[in-house]
Amino acid sequence: MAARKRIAAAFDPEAFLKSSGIAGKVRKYPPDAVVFSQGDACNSVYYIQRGTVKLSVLASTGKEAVVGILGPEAFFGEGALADQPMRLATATALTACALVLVPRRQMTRLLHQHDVADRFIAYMLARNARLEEDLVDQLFNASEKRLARTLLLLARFGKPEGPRRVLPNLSQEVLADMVGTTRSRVNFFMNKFRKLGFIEYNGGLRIHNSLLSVVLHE
Amino acid sequence: MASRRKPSFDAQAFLESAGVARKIVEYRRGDAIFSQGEVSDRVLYIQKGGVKLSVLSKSGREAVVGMLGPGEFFGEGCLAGQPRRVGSATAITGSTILSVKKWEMVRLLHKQHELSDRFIAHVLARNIRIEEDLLDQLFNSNEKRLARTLLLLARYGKQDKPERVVPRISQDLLAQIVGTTRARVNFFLKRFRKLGFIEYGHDRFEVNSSLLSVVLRD
Repeated sequence: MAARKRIAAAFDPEAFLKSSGIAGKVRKYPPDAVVFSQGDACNSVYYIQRGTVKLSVLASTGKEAVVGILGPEAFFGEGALADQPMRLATATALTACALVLVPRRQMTRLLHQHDVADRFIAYMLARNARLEEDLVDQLFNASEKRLARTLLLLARFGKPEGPRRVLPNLSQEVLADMVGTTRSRVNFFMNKFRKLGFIEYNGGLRIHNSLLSVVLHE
Repeated sequence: MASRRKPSFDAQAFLESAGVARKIVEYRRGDAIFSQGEVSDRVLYIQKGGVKLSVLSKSGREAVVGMLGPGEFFGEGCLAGQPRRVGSATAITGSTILSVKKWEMVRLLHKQHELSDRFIAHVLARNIRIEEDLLDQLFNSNEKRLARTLLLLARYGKQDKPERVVPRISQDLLAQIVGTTRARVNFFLKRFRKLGFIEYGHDRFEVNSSLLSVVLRD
């Protein structure tokens, strides 16, 4: 915890943008706009200044999987730094977004500034921890529990800044792609959760504490 | 970045050099390096050998989230503020492990470009691998997942030549990596053998390139 605080405190995203001279490359995207598509050339990294981005992968069978929903101060497209020639996923703006585009070369150079390297390492470690949890979730849990966990994480339960109880509009298709199940199963469980009072549709989707019981039950 | 930077910096020599507070520990096959729930205050680096990362569910099921080899870091979750180990690390063969205290690692990553480059390359590669494992769970059948696991263990697709012969690995362990039962693993292994994709004795597997056909077909 202390390490993360120290690393995070040492980094100021605004200063990062100014000092690196890339502040002019902020791009705006309306909701549902595609930032890049699976198979596109992969030569830049993105930093989210404002908004929410969905990362998804399409299988050759046409099935879609969501591998991440990212918010402000997250990086994505970092595969460019690992010499991936093509994008392995599609990035879509879920809400209106302001994104900073950093060409690969410039990012490699930026990573030699201590604070940027620290911040980037902290971000990647957090992202890997989350992906590993998602993988373990797939290996262990039933789709009902996975859906409950996805909703709780989207509502930021367990985050220091406290839960945000009303979720932005996410379709049942997107939820199904995140959980790795079908839309009809998502619909079935959402109705069940609503009947049990765990969630509520009331000007958006509200998540109650009681939903934790689904995840905590063995 | 990953492949371009590697030759210019020898992380091992650096971590072994005077002035870096670390210790070197030898483990035998099957030894626990750390266990789930223990205090997490060291980053580890594999000098020689191999390490299995696994997570135990409350109901006692085990899932394997990583099989790592020489030159790889693990236990880096402590840098992301994980106060306790979220999984266990076990030596799968005789291994020499370098261990660096969390604070020392934070200090070194901040000060040493070469180390932070190397570490970022590791974290990016790990990110790609976990994301692929997650997609494999979301998209593929048990049979395809087992074939992919065997091919990856034989290092197919790595720049160095595939090893073809995989050291002995139990069907239980394969089941925990793939996320299925031992009986299913046994069933598919027999099938792969009948089709000439693999050969196995009681202490090793030989993986033929024809096994790729299982992964590549839709």
